[in-house]
Amino acid sequence: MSDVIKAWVDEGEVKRLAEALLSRPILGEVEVKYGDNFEGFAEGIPSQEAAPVNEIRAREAASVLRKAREEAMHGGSVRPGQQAPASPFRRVTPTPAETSKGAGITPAAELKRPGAPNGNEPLLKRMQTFGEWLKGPVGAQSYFISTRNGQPLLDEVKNPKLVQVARTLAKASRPSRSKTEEMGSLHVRIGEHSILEVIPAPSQYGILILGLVVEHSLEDTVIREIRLGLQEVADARLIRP
Amino acid sequence: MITIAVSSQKGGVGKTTASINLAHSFARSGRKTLLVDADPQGSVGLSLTRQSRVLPGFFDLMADPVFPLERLIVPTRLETFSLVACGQSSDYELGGGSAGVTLHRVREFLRSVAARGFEICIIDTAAGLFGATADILTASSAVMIPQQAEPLGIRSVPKLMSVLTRMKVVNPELNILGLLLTMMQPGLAESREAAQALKDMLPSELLFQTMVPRDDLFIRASARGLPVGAMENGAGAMAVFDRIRMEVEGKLAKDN
Repeated sequence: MSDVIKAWVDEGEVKRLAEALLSRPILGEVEVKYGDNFEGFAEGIPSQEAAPVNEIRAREAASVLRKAREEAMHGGSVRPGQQAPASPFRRVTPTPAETSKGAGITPAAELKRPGAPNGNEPLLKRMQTFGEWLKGPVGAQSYFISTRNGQPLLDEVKNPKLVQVARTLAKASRPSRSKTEEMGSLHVRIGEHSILEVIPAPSQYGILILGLVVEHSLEDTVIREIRLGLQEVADARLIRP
Repeated sequence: MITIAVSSQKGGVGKTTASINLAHSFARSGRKTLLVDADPQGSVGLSLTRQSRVLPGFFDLMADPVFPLERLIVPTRLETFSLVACGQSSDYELGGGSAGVTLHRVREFLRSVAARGFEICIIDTAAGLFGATADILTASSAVMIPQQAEPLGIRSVPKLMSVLTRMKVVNPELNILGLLLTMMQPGLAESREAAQALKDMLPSELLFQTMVPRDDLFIRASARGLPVGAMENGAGAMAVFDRIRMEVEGKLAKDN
């Protein structure tokens, strides 16, 4: 490709967008199944056999988040004064209740997000703890969290196509006219007993995209709790001992 | 009925030329074809009928849904080929051009056209994929995207992909026929590079194999109010659009 065109167009981005465009019929009024051409699921989801957090390349994730934050600030969705991870703050909320994998699913009406974590723990560890809550009381089979550009931070699903689908759905779910309006969410059926719920959440790193593989679509109140929970995990403040 | 919207983010990329000549090719192949001018600039109408500036058309129906369709359909010398002019209204008179305003009326219009036995409806839309054009895409079976074969034009491709993805959320049945390279100049390095860049970036399903060359014949055809295939010495250009039409048929058959 010529330098002139390279300067204008990110070849990788166009390829990802094109693949996402071809990969699926997305959702109809409520939910639409993938067509026969969908190649991304079946054996592709390891469900409960998640990669432990120590396998995640933390430095790489930190770099991705730094870049995401810079882009979000450049784009105006994050204000320069918004709290950065390393800023010292006193404790303002209780430590999160520990949740464990395999805990029973909590009825939607009773489901509350874990308490806001503090920023003393690394972000990925906080996200993993949050993920345990997702897989416990929420009942998710597996999940991933990516930046708004589709770069995975935590990925149990191990399916790049689904991450890109989530990214495009997240873009589609965002109210176009008002930045202050609460974000929407979208879901799409990806298997006989699997639905991908896509929940975008604003954060100091820009939009984070949570993809949840669940058996049944989630109620609005649950989605709201999840979104706020993820936001608190991402924006947790460092607490002085 | 198959409805094909011919749309693009940018203006001046050859949408009208592609619409007229693709519709003409379908009509010549024996399919009852309606070409609809949904571009407020009214280029199709200006190209094919001298009175188009006073003809009622598509946007008049959008503004007033009881407008009788029979008054809008203009026959041509080819029995299988009819057209609907743009009309005297514009999308900006339909609620500021916001998407969704005309969707129900577009669907009703297409149902009425199908009920009159048309097999193919090709809609030449205005530049940009918003407003009434978004409604047309929501109601269409397929979209073809002309793309000028020059480096500057490639800049809009990522945005185009994003917008089309959103359109697929709204209309999961929309068949993305792909980008059609237009105004191709094989003797110009920049034009070749632009074409090659698109080939490198896009899956083959998203790019037409046939390209439309830059040809003075298209300008002369428009000036005389004719599809290029009806021009003297137009056989070559006509063959280009016959190949494009066959590609479209192949893509539609594959999708079904």
